[in-house]
Amino acid sequence: MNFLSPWFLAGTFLIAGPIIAHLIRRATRDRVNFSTTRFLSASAPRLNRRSRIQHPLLLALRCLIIAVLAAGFARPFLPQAAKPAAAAPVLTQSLVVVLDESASMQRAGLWDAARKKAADLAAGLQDGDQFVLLAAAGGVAELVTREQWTRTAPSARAALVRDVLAARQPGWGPTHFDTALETAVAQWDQLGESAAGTRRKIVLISDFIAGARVAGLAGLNWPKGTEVALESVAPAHPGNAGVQWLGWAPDTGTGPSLRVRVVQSADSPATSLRLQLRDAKTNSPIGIPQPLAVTPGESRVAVVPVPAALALTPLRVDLEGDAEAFDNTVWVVRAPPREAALVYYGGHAANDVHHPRFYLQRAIAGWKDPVVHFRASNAPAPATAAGSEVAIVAGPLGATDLAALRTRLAAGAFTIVLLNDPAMVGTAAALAGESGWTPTTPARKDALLGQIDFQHPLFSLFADPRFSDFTHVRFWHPQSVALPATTAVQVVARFDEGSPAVLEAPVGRGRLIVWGGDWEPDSGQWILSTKFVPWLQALFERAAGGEARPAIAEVGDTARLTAAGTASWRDLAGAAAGANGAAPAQPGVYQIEEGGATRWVALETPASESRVDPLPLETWDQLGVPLHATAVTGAAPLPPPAGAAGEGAAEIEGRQKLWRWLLIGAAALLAAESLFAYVLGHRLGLAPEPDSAAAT
Amino acid sequence: MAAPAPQPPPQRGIDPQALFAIRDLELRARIVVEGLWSGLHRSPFAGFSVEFTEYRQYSPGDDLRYLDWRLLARTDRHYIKKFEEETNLRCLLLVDTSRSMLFGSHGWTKADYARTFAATFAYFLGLQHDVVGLGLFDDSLHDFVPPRWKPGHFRRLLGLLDRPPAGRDTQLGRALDQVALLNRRRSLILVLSDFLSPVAEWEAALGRLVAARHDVRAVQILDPAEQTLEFGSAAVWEDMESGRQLYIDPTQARAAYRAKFDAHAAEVRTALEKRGVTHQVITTDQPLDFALLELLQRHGARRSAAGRRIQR
Repeated sequence: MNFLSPWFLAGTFLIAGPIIAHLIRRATRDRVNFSTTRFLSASAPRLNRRSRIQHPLLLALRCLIIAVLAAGFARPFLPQAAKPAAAAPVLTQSLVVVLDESASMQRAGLWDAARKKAADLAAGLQDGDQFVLLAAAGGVAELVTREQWTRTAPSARAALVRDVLAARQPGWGPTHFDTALETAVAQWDQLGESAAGTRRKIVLISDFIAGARVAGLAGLNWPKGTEVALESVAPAHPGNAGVQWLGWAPDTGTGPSLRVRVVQSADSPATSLRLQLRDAKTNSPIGIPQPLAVTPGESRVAVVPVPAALALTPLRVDLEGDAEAFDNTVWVVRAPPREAALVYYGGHAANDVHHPRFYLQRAIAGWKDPVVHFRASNAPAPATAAGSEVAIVAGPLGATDLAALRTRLAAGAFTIVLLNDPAMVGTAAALAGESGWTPTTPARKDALLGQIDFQHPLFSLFADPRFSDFTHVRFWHPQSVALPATTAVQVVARFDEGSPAVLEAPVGRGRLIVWGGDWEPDSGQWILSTKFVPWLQALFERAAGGEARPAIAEVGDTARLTAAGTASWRDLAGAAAGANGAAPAQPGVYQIEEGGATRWVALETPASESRVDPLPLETWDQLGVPLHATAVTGAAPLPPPAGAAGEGAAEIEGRQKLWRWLLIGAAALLAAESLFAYVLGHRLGLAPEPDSAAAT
Repeated sequence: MAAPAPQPPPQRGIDPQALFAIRDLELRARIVVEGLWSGLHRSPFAGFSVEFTEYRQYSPGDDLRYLDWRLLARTDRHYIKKFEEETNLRCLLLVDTSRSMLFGSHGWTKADYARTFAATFAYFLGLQHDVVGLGLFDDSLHDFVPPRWKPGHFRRLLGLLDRPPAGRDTQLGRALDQVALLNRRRSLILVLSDFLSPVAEWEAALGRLVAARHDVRAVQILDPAEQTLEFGSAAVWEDMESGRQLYIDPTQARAAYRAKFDAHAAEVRTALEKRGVTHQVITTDQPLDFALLELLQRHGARRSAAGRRIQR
C-alpha cells in the first residue's frame, strides 16, 4: 500500500496521548457541594496501582481511531499493474497553446523561451493528440490550425510547429488575455467536439505583465472541464523603463512643447535616464538630451520643448538609458489646425449691435478647431483660400455675388440665408437653383420652433433631451416659405404653427441653409441664446469635414485615425505600409492619404505594455479562470492521461478513494468508543458503594 | 384474644415535594395556612392578640368559653367577656440567606423551606391582623422591613423573600445585634436558620436580644443529609460558605461526622435553652404545615407556662 500524502502518517504519534492519559491515575473530578465541612475530616483517597493501564480495551479503541484517521488523511492507495490495453479506454489529449506576441515579449530572453516552450509542448504529444497554436497580440492569429496538425504526419508535426515559430517575431500590439482566451475557448470547444473523452487543456505562454487586459475574462463562460495552464517566461534583465505619449502642452507663449510620461517598473535597476528629441525622418537629435530621474515603481511627466519651426515636422522622443528598447520611443506628429472662413453678406458695420455681424465675429473668436477667419463680403479675399467656407447672407445679393456664391456652394461651401425680408426668399431660391418659392408670413408674431428634426446634422447636437428645449427661443419677426411640390429642400424645423422655419438644400457639394427670420436681437432671441454658439461651431465642423481625427494613436487602436478602409498608408520613406489598407502594425510616423488629402499620423507602442510588473496570480482566481492545478513545465512532456500505462498516483488514489472507507471506519470506531466509555462510566458511577449498601 | 384497639389514622401533612413544586411563594403560604386551620381547634394566639374590653350580658347562643365564671360565682349573673382585636403582637421573622442554606438533598433547599416557612407564618399572622416584619441576613442584616400593618405589606415581604440569595457566609451574632438596634419595641422574633455556625459566634448576641425583653424563638432548619451524612459519594467536597475543599468518602467519614454534628446540636440546644429561647429543629423533609403547627402549639404551651409563672 502506498500513500499520496505520507506525511500525515506522523499523526500516529498522537497515539501517545491516550496511552499517557490511561497510565496516569485518574484524579477524581467529581465535586460535591455541602453546606459546611466543619464537621468533616478529609478521607484518605483510594489509590490505584500506577503501573496498571486503566481500561485497556478503551485505550485500544482510542489508539485505533487515531491510527485510522492518520491513515485516512495520508490518502492510501493500492498500486496496480497497468491494465491491459484492451480494457483501458484509449484517451488522447488536446492542447490549445496561446503564445503571447505582444510588444513586451520583445524583451531580451522572452521570445526564445516562449517559442521553446510551445515547441516542447508540441513535441511531447502522442500521435492521436490534437494541437492548435494561436498567437495573441491585441488580435489573435492561428499559427497552427487543427486541420494543419491533423494533415501533417505525426513524425513531422514537431518540425511543423518549430518552423512556424521560427518565422514569428513578437509584435507591437497590446496584451489582451481576454480576447486570446476567448478565442482559445472557442478552439477548445471545437477540439472537444471532434474527440470526445479527450483531455483538453489551454496553455497560455506569456510574460504575464500587469498591463495585460484581463477585464473581459470576468464575463467569459468557461465550458465544463476547461483547464488553463499558465506558462510564464522570464526576461533576461529585470525591470523596464518606458516612455508614453501624453499630448501637446498648452501653449504658454514660449513655443510648442510636448508632454510624455516616463515609467519605471518596480524591479527596474536605478539608472540615469535621458529624453532626446529627434527628427523622425533623419533621426538627427534636436537639442540636448534632457536628464530624468525616476524612482523604480514610479512615473514622471516630462515636458519636452519643440522648436517652433519644427512643430509640424514628424518627430520622435527617445528614452535613453534603458536596456529594453521596445517602449523607449514616442513618435510625434502635429496636425496643422483646420482653417475656415466666415463670409458675411449684409454690409453692416462691425460694431452695429443691431445686426448679426457683431455677434458672429465674437462667437467665432478663440476657436481652436476649426480656426475661423471672419471676412465681410466686400473685403478682399485672402491670397490663400481657407479650407472651408461658411457664408451668411443677411442682405440682398447682387448678381455677381449671387453667381460667385453659387459657384462656391457647388464647390462645397455652406451658405446660410436669413429671411429677414420677403424678398430674400427669391435670393434663397436662386441660390438653391429652384423656382416657385413663395414668401409667407406666419400669423403669430411670437413664434417658437415647434418641430425640430433632431436626427438632422443641423440639430443633432441638441438631440439629448437635456438640451432639446427650444421653448425659450422666440422669434418676433418670423418669415417662412411656401415650397413647390417638387423640391430638393428638406425642412429641418418648423415654427409652432407649422410653417417651415429652417430649411436645408444640397447645392453641388455644398449646403444651402435657409433660416426663417433674421438673427438680429430685435427679431428674435436665437443669436443671444446659449444654443447659438455650439450650433454655429457644429456647423463649421460639418463644413470642415466633420469632427477632427486624432493624429496619434496606439498600435492596434487605429480605428479613429481614418474612415474605415478608405485610407492608404505610407511610411517616412514613402513606401506603402500596412496590408490592404489596414493600419501598419509597427510604431512610427506614417502619411495617410484619404479623400484626396494627406496628413501625418503617428502610431505608438501601447502604453500598457510598459507596465511589466508581474500580474498577480490572485487576479486569475478573482476572474474565475479555471486554472490547472499544476503548471505544465515547458521542457517536460505533459503528464500522460489517466488510464494509460504509468497512471499517476493521484489518479489511482482518486479512483480508489480508500480514505473514505477509513473515515467511515473511524466514525464507527468513535461511536463504539463513545458507547463503551458511557457504559463503563455509567457502571462505575452507579455501582452502589459497599459500605452504604450495607448500611441501608 | 381481644382485638387490638383501633389506631388513629396517621397524620398526613402537605407533601413537601408537591408544595415546593409550586413556584409562587404566596400560593404556597395560602395552601399551608389552609391546612393549618383545619389542624387547629382554636387559634393558639387567641387571647394573645386580642384584649378584654367590657362585659355584656349572656344571651343564649353565646360561646360559653367567654362566660365569666368568677363573676357568675360572685354575682350569680351571666356575663360574657367581650374582647377587642388589637395589633400589639409584633412579630419579626429573621431568615438566614447565607450560602449554607442553599444546600438541599431533596430537590429543594433549606432556603426554600425557610422562605416558605416565613411566608406562611407571615400570612397566618396577617390573617389575625398582627404586624409582621422581616429581616434577611447572612454575614450581616442586609434587608430589613420593620413590623407594620398596611396594605401591600405582605406583598413586600414576599418580594423580599423571593429575592435570590446573595450568597455569603453566616454571622448570626452580628445580625442579631443589628436587629436589636433596629427593632427596639418588644417583639416576637423568630430566627429561621440552620445554626451551623459556631455557637460562640452568636451566643452573646442572642443573650442581649433576650435581655431586651424580646420573645425570641429559634427554628433550626436542617437537611436530613446534614444529620445523617447519607449523601454523596467519594469526591471532593466543597464547603458552600468558605469554599474549603476536602476529599471525602462519606462511608469513611460518616461516623466521625455524626459525632461532631451531634455535639454541635447539643451545644446549640444548650445555648438556646440557657437563655430561654424555644428551640425547634425542623428537617426539610417534614411537611411544612406540621412544622408550623408544632411551632404554634409550642407557643401556646409556652404562653400557658409563662402565665402560670406569672400567676405564681
